[in-house]
Amino acid sequence: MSDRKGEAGVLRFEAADVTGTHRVQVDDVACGLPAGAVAMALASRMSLPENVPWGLRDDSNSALLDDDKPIGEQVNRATDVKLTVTPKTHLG
Amino acid sequence: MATTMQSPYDVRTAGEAAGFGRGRRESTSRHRGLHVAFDRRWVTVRAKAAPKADPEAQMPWGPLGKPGLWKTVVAEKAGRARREFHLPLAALEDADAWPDDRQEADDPLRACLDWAAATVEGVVPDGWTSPPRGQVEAWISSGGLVVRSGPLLCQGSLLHEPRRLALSFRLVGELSAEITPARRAWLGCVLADAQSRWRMVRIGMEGAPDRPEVRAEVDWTGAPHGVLEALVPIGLDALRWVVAWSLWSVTFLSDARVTCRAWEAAQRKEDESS
Repeated sequence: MSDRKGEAGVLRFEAADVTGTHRVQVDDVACGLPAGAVAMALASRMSLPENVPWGLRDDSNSALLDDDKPIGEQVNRATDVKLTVTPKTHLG
Repeated sequence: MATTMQSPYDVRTAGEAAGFGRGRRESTSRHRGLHVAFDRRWVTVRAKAAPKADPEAQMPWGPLGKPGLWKTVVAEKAGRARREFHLPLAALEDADAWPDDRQEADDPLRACLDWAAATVEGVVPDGWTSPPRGQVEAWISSGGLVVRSGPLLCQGSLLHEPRRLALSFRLVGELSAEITPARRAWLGCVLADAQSRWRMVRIGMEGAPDRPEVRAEVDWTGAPHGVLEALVPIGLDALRWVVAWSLWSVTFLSDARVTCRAWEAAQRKEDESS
């Protein structure tokens, strides 16, 4: 049996930036991709600054997705997935 | 207690022993009927192109899925296709990567040339098996299987079977049936250019003729185990480079929503002349 590391279907979701200015429908993201890489690619697609560390927040539960874990493992694929591209900043 | 010091493997000396002279730029020799060229950084093994009756000879890319590092390369000046196998010398220079319990030929360079000779006909060497999967994964850098180019992302996969060892990136999952033959020809040019321009990596279309996928791969099937620890990271870097280099063009050309009259012009000209 072939052992294909990293291939686990395709994820469909809607993504927006924090201000709601940019909104994109994504149909073909591999579930095995790390959420951090997906966040940076979405930020680029939305023409957001590339020198900012971007993360993804799941709108259904407001949880910030772990950058290093596969995106498909961190969202409920049974529902309409909506994600927000969020700058990873903190005050203080 | 006496300790044995192993001197580093000197690939230049091994090259001389294998019949290569010390040329200023490139020295050549033959190994089991193959032409072998040796320069500062690479060993290039060349074989005759596939016969014209072979469908693979019609494709200036690939062939995908075959064991070893053989690929079709189109020479810039002559425009003729030939088959080449590129071996980075850096993979041979790490003495630690050549364990004492090896089963292959004693000399790393000779073992690699034997690998090239064994796989030139698309056959996996007798008795060869992949190293354990965990060992191969340890040679792949963290995040190495993800390539991002602006808003585009591409994920690679390790193909590990008892008789297969390769890394593959799928650039396009299924080419749309709406892509015209003319546009597919443009895509073929991009793939052929990428494959000829960069070493080690094969890139091409594979699968159902009407809806093929576009893949890039490096295949180490049949490689002497002693060189894999050094060869896998080099191959991964090469693969990531080629994927990043070609991802924009391939994605753009294979997006059925994008139209461009210039892409169809060559086909119209051909239709008119026939």
